[in-house]
Formats: sequence, C-alpha cells, structure tokens
Amino acid sequence: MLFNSFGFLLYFLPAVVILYWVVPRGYPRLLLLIVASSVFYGLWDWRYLPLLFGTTLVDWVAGHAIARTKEARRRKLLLAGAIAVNLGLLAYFKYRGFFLDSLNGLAGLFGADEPLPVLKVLLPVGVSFYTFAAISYAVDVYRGMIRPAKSVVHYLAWATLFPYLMAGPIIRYGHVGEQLERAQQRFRLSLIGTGVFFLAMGLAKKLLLADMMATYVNDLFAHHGQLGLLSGWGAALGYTLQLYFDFSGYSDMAVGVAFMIGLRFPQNFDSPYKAQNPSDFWRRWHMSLSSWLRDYLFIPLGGSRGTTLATVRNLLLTFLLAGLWHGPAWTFVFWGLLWGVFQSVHVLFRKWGLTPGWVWLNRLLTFLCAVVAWVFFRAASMGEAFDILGSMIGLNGVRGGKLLPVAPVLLALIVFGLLWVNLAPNTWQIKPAPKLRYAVALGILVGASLLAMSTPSPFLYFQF
Amino acid sequence: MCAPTPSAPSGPCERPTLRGILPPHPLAPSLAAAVNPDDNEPFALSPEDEGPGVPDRLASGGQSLDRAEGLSRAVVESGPAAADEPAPKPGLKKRVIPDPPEIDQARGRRTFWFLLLVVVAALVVMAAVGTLNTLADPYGLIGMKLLPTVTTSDRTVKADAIERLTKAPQLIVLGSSRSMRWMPEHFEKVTGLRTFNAGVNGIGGTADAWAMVNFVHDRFPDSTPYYFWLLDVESFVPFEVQGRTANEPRLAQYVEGSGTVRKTPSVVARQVWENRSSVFSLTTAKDAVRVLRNRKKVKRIYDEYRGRFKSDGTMADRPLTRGEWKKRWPKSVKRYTDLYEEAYFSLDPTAKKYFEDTLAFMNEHGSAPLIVLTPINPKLRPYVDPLGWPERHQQVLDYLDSLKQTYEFELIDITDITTWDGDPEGFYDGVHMTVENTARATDYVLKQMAWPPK
Repeated sequence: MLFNSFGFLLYFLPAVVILYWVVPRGYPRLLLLIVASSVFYGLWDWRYLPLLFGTTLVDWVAGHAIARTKEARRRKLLLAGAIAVNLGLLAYFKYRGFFLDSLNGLAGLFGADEPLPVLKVLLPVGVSFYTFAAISYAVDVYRGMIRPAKSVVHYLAWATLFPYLMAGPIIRYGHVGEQLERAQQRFRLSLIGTGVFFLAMGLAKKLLLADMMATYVNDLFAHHGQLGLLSGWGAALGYTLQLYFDFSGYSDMAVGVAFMIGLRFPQNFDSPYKAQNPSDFWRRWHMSLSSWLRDYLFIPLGGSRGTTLATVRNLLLTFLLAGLWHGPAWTFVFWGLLWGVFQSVHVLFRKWGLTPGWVWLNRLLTFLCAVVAWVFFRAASMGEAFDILGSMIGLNGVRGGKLLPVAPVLLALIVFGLLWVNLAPNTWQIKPAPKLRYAVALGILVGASLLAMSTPSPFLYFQF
Repeated sequence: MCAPTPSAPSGPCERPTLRGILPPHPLAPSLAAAVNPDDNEPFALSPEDEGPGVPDRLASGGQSLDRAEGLSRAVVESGPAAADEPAPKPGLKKRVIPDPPEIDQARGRRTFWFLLLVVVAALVVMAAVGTLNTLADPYGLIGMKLLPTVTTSDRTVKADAIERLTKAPQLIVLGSSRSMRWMPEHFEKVTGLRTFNAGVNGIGGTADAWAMVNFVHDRFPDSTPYYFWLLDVESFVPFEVQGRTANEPRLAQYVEGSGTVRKTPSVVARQVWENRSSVFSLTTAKDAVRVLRNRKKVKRIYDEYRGRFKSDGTMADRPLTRGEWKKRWPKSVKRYTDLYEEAYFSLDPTAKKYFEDTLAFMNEHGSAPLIVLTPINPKLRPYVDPLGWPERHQQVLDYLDSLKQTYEFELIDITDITTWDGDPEGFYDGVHMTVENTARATDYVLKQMAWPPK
C-alpha cells in the first residue's frame, strides 16, 4: 500500500488513527499497531510477512541474550550471529542475482559456457530498511546504549511500524521504541493538525512536483543518446530535484502519519542542497541512513580518529557499502564510490586549507557533486550515465538536429525547484499554527494532491 | 515540575537521555566513549564546518539548532548524559534528536476549526476541478457534448454513421478492431447485399456487439439483416464493458451498469461517480483547459479522425510503412503474451452471457448469424501457443459447439490461414489483416458456407 493512494488516505489511515485512540493505552494499542502494520505490508505481498517478522525477531532474541550475558566474547558472538543472519538474508534477497550475474560474466570471460542458474525471487519491499533498523537494535543493546525492549510486543510494534516500514527513515529503537514504552499520551487535536500539516506538505512535494518532473525526466533518461547540452542538464537537474521532492516528501508523510498516532520521528532531510561540502550534504540528506552508516560502519572502522589516509579509506569503504545498500548494480557501487571520493577530497582540502571561503561557491560545488552523482544513481547502466554526462559537457552539441529539447514545463519546474531548495525553509523549519492562511494553503495543497493522485506512482525509495 | 511538552504534557522533568532509564551497564561508559564521534568525524558536526553562512549547529552536537529553539524534548541517541551517571568525557557530545515542530496543543479549539477549514478548502478545490472536468468533458466520459472531446471514439463515429443511414443495412459485419478492414463494398460485390461494418476497437467486445445489434435494430426496427460476426478467440477474455461503449450514451443504454441517453442530473451524477478517477484529476483538468482554449483545433483533430472512417463503417486502407510495422509488431506480441500470461485462463461468464443474449436477440428477430473465428498471424503463434492459445481456441470451439442446440447460427473457423490460403505477409501486426487478405478470407468463407442462405 502506498501513502499516496486513496486506499491509504481515505480508509486505512483514518481507520488506524481512530482505532488507535479508541483502544486502551498500553498493549492493546501496540497490538493494534502490529496488526495494522502487518495489513499494510501484507497488502503488498503477504508471503513476505514471515520474512519481516523472522528477520527482526532474530535481533530481539539476540538483544535479550546479549543483555543477559556478561561474558564479552559470548556477547560478541551473539551480536555477530545476529548481524550475520540479517546480512545473510539481505544478501540472499537483494544481491544474489547481482553476484551470480557478475560471476557468470566473469566465468564467460574465461570461456565457461554454462551460466549458473539465477533464481528469480521478488525483492521484499523495505528489506534494506527493516534489516538495518534491526541491526541497530542488536548493536545498541550490545553497546549498552539502550536496554532491550520491554516486551516482544513493544519490539515488534517498533520493528514493523507501518509509517516507516516500506522506505524508511531508518528509525532506531532508542528513538521510537522509547516513545512506545512510555505510557502513551492522550489524544489531542494538535497531533492530528500537525500530522495533516506534514502529510499535506509531503503529498504536495511528491505529487505536485516529483511526479510532474518524473514524466519529463524519465523521457530524457530513456533517450540518453539523444541529449544535447541543455537536455542533458535538464535530465540531471530534473532528477536531482525529483529525487529530493520524492523522498523528502515521503519522509514528511511518514512524520505526519506518525504524529497522528502520537509518535515523533526524527528529521530525515535538512535542506540538503544548501550543504556547503560533501560532509555537510550527508548530514542533511537521508539523515537516518547517514547517521546509521556513521554509527555502525564508519566509526567502527576507525572513523576519522586515525591518520588522514585511514580516514579516506574509511570514507571510501563506508560509501562503497552505502552504494551497494541502495541496490545490486554497478551504477550504485560507482555512485557510492563517487561520494567517498568527494568526501575524501573535502577532507584533504580542508586539511590543506584549500576549501573556498565563499559560501555560495561552496554550495554550488557541493550541489554540482550531487547532480553528477545522481546521474549514476538514476542511470540504468554505466554507459547511460556517461552518455548523459557527455551531453552535459557539450559532447553532443547544444541543441538542434535529432537532439531532444527540454520541455518548457520541465524548465519551469526546475527553476521553481531550484529556488525552493535554495531559498525556502524546509518543512521542519516551518512552525505550523492553526491560522486561516495555513488552513487555506494546506487545503489547496491537499485538494490538488488528491486530484493528482489518479495515477498510482510508487516512491523512488521503494525499490531499495 | 517541568514545563509541559508534547511528549509529557505535565509531570516530572524528562531526562534528555535514554541512558537515564537504563540500568547502567558495566561496559557502557567505555563503549559509549568508543562510539561517540569526536569532532573530527566527517559525519559528525565539526568546528571546521562552522563558517560563514553556517547556522549554529554545534551547540548540542548533533543536529541543526537554527530551528531547534523551543524544542520540547530531546532524545539522546547515544552518549552518556544522564544526571545520575558520570559526566561525559571532555570532547564527547550528545547527539540530540529534536522533535518535529508541532501545533501548540493549548489551541485545541482553534485546531478543530483549522482542520475543518483544511478539509473544506480541499473539497472546494476538488469540486471546482470536478465541475470543470464534468462540463468540459474532454474525454466524452460524461456525455455532456458541450465541447469537442480530445479523445476519438469509434463508437461515436459508428453510432453517427448508423443514424445517418437512409436505408437499413441488409448485412451487418460485427467484430473487434480485426473486423475494421472487412470491407462492405466487397461483401456487396459478392452477395449483392447492402452492408454496414459495425465493428469497434477493443479486445473482447461481446457487449459491443450486443449494443450495436440493439442500436441498429432500434434505428431500423422492421429490418432483418444478415449478421457476419467476426469472433476472436480472445472475445471471451475476463470481462469489462469497454469504457468507450459505456460512455457513448447511444450504445451505453444497452449495456449493464452504463448510463442512459437522457442527461438528467442524477444520470450525470452517476456518470461522474463512475468516472471519478478521471473527473477528479489534474490531468483531465489540463485537457479540459486545452479543449476550452483550442476548441477549433480539437474539433479539427476529431474531424480528421472521423475522416478515416467511411460511411459504411470501415476504415480506409492504408499500407503500413516499415517503421510503423516495426513499432506495431513488438507491441502486438507484448499485448497478446501479457493477455495469455496474466488474464486469459478461461472463458469469462459475463462475456459469454452477452454473446448468448446477442445470439438469442438475432434469432428472435429472424436472423441466424454466421460466426467466423478470426485469423491470427502465424508469426504470433510461437509466442502465444506456449501460453495457452491452443487450449483457449479449443475451449471457444467447444463452447460454440455446445450452443448449437440452443441457438441458430453457422460457424466457421479460419484462425489457421493455411485453410483459406491466406497471405502470412498480409497482416499489420499479430492479428490485423490487410484488405487483400480480408477479401480473400471473405471469398473463402462465403463460398465454403454457401452464405447467405437463399
């Protein structure tokens, strides 16, 4: 089920919100959340519910065992076991085909005729997100950052919580689990009002901006060989903005939905295109993932406490794995590597005092890094990405001939989007208030979004 | 007591840490120190990042504070900070996760009116767009007919043509798009009967045939035409009345669940409800505005489409270019492989019902139709055969055979073009034949069946 569907907005969400506030506090509410989340997930494909519960329960069991054990080696083994199971399942469902294809390619180079059979298995939606969340639980318990969940019901209510189950943000038990464990608060209209505010902002970003851009961007990427300088930039900038409005819109909607059941999610986007360097960008973009990578990968690798060379190595490794996390494709691997390089260059420049002092130049350079990286992120193949980058530096000419033009509507959306991401406050910087002008503006956005919802369009991050 | 916060409306002060509620773990302080990033972590907030234009993001060590003023609650994701725990090591920072901004909870009454106003404003926007789309009706779904439509409907063209006929047709060709190039002039040449081609686009279409037969009968109640019914193996796919038939009021009156000719407010309301996904849509609004702004142009395009049909209901023959063929062929393969893979596993009962009702209607009015199972391009067979085409073909034959005791009709199967010496190159795609091929098939069928009966 999609957030941007009539089924969710008109039936599922109101039903869950009403039931949530009607049923008694404590376990009944948590059980309701588990059932609602199961229905939400099961409507996509109920056959993957056992995988969802199985993957996450591994960490519940491990967390409890770790908390009861004082012997360091045994604790470490338990943690390693839980992580191995999580990553093993993730690897099986997400990367099996990629590795077999790569192996077949390699074997082909050495003259092997018979390719290894590739079993086609549907990628379970949200598997990357809930696996990472579950790992964070086991690690946090191991580190003593949190105590184990109060009960399996509390744990499952957190692990399967529908507002973030499908596409994040990756929310740790230490944040929402703690809210679930406390006596849940009473119903207040301000929760619904704030939830509607976030939901409306997210819907508008997704349906009125991202989806409108998608039509043109998809067309340009589909004709990557026919792009000139202008259409190449149109494709790259269009996708840069489309992805932001799509994913930050989804994140806003998740925050809004959570608000309606009295939960507060952390911020996932903090005006990332206002970032002044690659490091700053990753503190603002998909913050729940970047903080996960920082806490569970980068820092355990040594972070930046060692030599500069070690820092560069850790950055490259972290982002390489971040790329692979997004999907089993060389374009994602290269995208991650590219960000690792950008970060490393920034570290070196900063060390040598070569970072420009002019804020807008820093922002522009960081934005360009993002635009180039997103080309690889979006392209179906490395060749396609290089085609588009080639057109962006004018290898195919500016326009004319058989080159595709940039549609005026896309151009207008790009200009509007660039002004938005550079000048406007983000959703979290707006303090919602029950005022007439807010109500009218939100109502118009909700109405327009519902009118734009006639064609179902999944969020871009659902594929991860 | 602390000031009320969204998380804790009243009560004792919350400690801004999870650690405060945890029993201290023997390993915790050292682990916490190990995982807390120091200021030089590229992922963490570092003093080096502080520069011109950077908001004060360092005060709490983890998140922007430029909009954190007045934050109600701070959850510490990691790091020792609880009051009853050892003081954090110098250099370690709390990672504070601020709450989202929230409407002031004290303003409950105002929030009620706020929410109500949001709903009202949203409904007003939707009603305005819905009204525009209903009145402009750019796809002809509601049947308002106040403005030309941007879509072209062969149902409307055919209904218009039937209304314009001065004499009742003596032979009526029925069928799907595959029947479009079975030319009445050829029938007239061979049989001497005044012929009209009432075939319309769309896979399936037994309901279309039912509607057309009724419409012609209502136009010429005293006539008893012969029916040459080109039935496809795919005529019994899982059923849905073709939208274009359901939305051409003159035909819709005969099919279940569709509108009637008269546009009373309740009928319009029902049409709006049935087409709500289109009526309440920005895409439709865009086309509605297009129609309003370019009435003449839209009408010209529609007239051009009408121009492709002859007064006898057929489409003018137009040989395809190699480029067009290249485009049509893969689409055709995909369409039929998808159909057999995903939808067509048995004959649909509703499609069968419309088929039998039509047979009964024809018989009641003195006609015994000739049913012709239409040919399929032999190049398509390798794609659809493994997906169940032979089985469905046999099912259709068995079904028709079973009807012979109840209804009066003739049947001939020309799906295999070798039976009538068809030209395998005489196809536009997987199923649509050229005029030359349809003429050859017509000659074979009429001769083979000695039809129409004297």
